[in-house]
Amino acid sequence: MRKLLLIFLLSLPAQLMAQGTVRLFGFFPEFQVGFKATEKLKIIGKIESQNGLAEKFEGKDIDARYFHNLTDFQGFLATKINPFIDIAGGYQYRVNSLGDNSHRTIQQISILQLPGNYKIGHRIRADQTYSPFEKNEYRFRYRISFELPIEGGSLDPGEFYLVFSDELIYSYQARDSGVENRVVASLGHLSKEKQKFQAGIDYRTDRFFDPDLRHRSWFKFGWYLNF
Amino acid sequence: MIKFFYVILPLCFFSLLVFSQEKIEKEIKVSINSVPDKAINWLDEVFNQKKKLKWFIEKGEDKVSYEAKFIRKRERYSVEFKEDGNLEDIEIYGNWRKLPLMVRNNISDYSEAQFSNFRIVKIQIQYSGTEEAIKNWIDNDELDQLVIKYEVEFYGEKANTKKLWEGLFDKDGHILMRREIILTPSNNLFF
Repeated sequence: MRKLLLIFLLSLPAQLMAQGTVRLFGFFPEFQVGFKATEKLKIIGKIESQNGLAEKFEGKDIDARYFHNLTDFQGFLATKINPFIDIAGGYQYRVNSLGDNSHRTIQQISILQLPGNYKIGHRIRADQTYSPFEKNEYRFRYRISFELPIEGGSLDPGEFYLVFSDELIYSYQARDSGVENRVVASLGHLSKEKQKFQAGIDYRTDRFFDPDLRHRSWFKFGWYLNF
Repeated sequence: MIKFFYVILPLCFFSLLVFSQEKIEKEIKVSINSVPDKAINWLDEVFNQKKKLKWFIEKGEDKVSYEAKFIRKRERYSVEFKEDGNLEDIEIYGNWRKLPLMVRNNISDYSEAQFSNFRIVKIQIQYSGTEEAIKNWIDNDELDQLVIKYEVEFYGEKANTKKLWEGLFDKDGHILMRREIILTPSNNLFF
């Protein structure tokens, strides 16, 4: 286990450099808490914040400095259709460093599969972003996630696990379409059955239809509480 | 803000270390050197399994056991030993369609009586008995002296509840015990 942790941590810089045209690198903490409001209704609150540490534009030197990119405050109401399927609706308020704060409404359905000793999560999400400074943006997203125990046949409290996910996002705004891809690889730890910690790399590419393909790499670490 | 980052990040990793000390029940992969010789020798004598053999230690609140997991003749085996290396039981992943008809009928009757909708998720067939009886079963397919049980994970739906269950059924498919399966939270995958 220690070897695996060491390899993972040592490989982080290599993962960043391997992308070739790194445009933005930063850290991305997130905190999430979920609790049951009633037998059928669950409330989830989440705060996540993107903080840049280095930015590079084509033909220019790396601009290494700290800057706050954005912070999202999210709230969801979720209900279970059965142990495998959840539906949820949510709202997000985004604080943007440029001052163009925005509101977002979110709808999603999530499907859990248990094919063996690991989990597969499917998330189908639609969201709509409203800002006084821009035209409304509409997005449709699909994310597949794998959660794999690495210490035993199943993930038990006190054990580490790996999470890999990929998300495809289609966006539509002011008659323009965009596509974004997000890949996440994280090392996680489950403690006390209700608490998870994860740390890893979140690598995002977008502007596929534009001449300047954008790469963003975040060191992401999260704390997830579930009551 | 950078200071904030330098404080929060080490705290997160410190939390990982602190919480990893606590444990109620868990299964951990171990090297063969940690397993009692008696268990290793019995497994070697009966199965002679050299390839893809993984050993685990399972620690409960008042019980420690060792488990050997491997695939033999396309079937997934889990052989459990007590802490002293004596055999406890053998579990093999089963296929619903290959269970005896009477077992399937009785499990179906039970499920239909208890739930409006149910679906089998996973089946493990438990074989227990003396070490000699287990050896006879492996070598000669003799089941007479073994106790057979079926551990079935299933989804069951009633008027107000939709849950995952684990049921233990006897050799004929009659229920012995049922408990709800509590899944570890998956919010990290969905939000």
